[in-house]
Amino acid sequence: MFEALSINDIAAVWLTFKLAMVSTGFLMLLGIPLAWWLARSHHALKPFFEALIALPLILPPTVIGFYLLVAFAPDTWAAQTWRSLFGSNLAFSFSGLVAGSIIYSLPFVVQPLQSSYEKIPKIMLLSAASLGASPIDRFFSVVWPLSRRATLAAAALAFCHTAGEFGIVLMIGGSIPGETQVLSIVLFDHVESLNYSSAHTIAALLLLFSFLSLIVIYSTGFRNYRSAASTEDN
Amino acid sequence: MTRLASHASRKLPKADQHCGLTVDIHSTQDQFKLNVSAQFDARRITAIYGPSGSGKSTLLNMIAGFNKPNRPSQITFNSNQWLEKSGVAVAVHKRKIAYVTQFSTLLPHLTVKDNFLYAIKRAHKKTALDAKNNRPFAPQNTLESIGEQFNVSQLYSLFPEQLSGGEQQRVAIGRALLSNPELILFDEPVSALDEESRESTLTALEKLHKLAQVPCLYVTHNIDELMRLADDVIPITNGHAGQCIAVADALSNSAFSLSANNSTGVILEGRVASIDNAHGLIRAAVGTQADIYCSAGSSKISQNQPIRLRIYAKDVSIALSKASDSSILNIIPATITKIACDEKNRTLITMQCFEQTLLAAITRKSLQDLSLQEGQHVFAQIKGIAVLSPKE
Repeated sequence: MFEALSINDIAAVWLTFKLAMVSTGFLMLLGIPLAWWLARSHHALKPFFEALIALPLILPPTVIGFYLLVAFAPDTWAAQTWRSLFGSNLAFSFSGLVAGSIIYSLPFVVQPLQSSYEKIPKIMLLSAASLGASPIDRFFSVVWPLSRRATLAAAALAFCHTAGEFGIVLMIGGSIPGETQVLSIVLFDHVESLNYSSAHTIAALLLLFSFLSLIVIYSTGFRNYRSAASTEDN
Repeated sequence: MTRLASHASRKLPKADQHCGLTVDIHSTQDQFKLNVSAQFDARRITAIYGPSGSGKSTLLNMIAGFNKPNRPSQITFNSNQWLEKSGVAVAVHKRKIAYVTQFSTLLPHLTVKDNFLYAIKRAHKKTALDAKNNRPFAPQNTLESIGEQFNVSQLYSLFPEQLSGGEQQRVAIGRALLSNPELILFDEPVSALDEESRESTLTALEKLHKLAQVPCLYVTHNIDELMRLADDVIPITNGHAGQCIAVADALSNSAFSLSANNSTGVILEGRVASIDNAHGLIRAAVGTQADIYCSAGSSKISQNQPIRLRIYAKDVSIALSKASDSSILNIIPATITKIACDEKNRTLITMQCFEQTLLAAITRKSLQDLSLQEGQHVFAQIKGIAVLSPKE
């Protein structure tokens, strides 16, 4: 029933891992300040940004993929700016996949972080300020340690969610081995060509990985991320 | 902007012109108007006294910089303009303040010691900003001295959630002092505590005069705290502040509408020196030498156990000499530190004995007949003492 992974399959495993790592890195860099701003802001446009970030949760990935494909077309300003900076195309490239993954997984990073940041009592931060802690100092000396679990959970969710994405990759990445052919695409190709035994191997691999990841996430306290600020372990 | 007079009840050096806090705050929020103009002297504890909803915490938060008044206001501290009429404000972390509130603000992920070090580290940074003013960093308090003074050095390795409410507040006060502030703000720091924790925290606060040579603002609505801690008091009602006056004059001032009541009193901390089973009495040692007798009651009491004695002001009278023919068991030497009369001619005397505070409620006639004065040595006659639930 199972067949050993081909060289092509192994390349897809590595590519999927690379995509998930790189995307998670960017997601954390972008998601942490964004979540912090959302948690503290009373800006009139806050609900607008919250809705925008949450969109990938309910939109079919193919819809996002379609609009990204349109945006990545060589004659758009986004594609041209990218080309002038890096000399390559966004569509059907690894960079394009990373960009798509960031949009697709952003709510999985921002929402647990924002929820955790909102749990930190304002008076605690004000008190730290009165002791002489600047805003950046307050973030790293109070907010960061109190939201450690939420940060871990957000990173793990971003990684797994990116590793498992299919719809967007299909739309903007195509299936270029070593460049855009990730595991979910390889699986699809195997099924299309009725190569069920290889499909079984890859499907089982993804299932096992997802299940183990969730066990890790839950055991590191994702379940409790809502109370991360108050139940910080000693 | 009116400059308000305040006269000294304790012999402290008068603040010079540039020393101290001047506020002229105006703010309107949902029908509530806050208008306060006042000057607070250096090296004194000024209570901001008023009922809940009067705006006293709002005022304190604005002085701290947590909130900003929404109408043109000014806050000046030691010739630094913290808030200008134009709305330009100095950030909270650049104001050299410390802030203690009834809510726990200890950092939950740090031990007691690390909470202290957090403040010390940033106190150095704060002072580094000041280097051009040629003010050397010479903190009055150190980790060791605070640990000892507030009796928290045995808690260094614990996390805030492992502490009792009173311990948390003592650590918070210690941390505030370690941040080497030039102004300390207290927002009802004992109001959320049970009676026992409240007392240990007040005992710690009574050391402020010694440990903090900086002005303190103390928001409260409690007369015991006012009498025990504050030098001056500013009444605040419906967002309007009255005149700043010495606490000793406050009881008789109609602006305060406060008076000593039947529950006014103090709690003394001591331990069981011996048990007199024949008479059903405990001999308690309070401070270093004194003996206080109290009824053993039904609670199980053992030798050397710490106990707490509740003494109401109405149960304490004052004599100039030690009566040897009295039925009162407890006649102890004390020094009068404050005398205050209320509108109904009741007088509240604050005394120091065994390094702790005692309150006595007497009539104005007695005050005159005995011609009692601040600083005078007298004998406090204690008629009733309640032993509070013994500490484990």
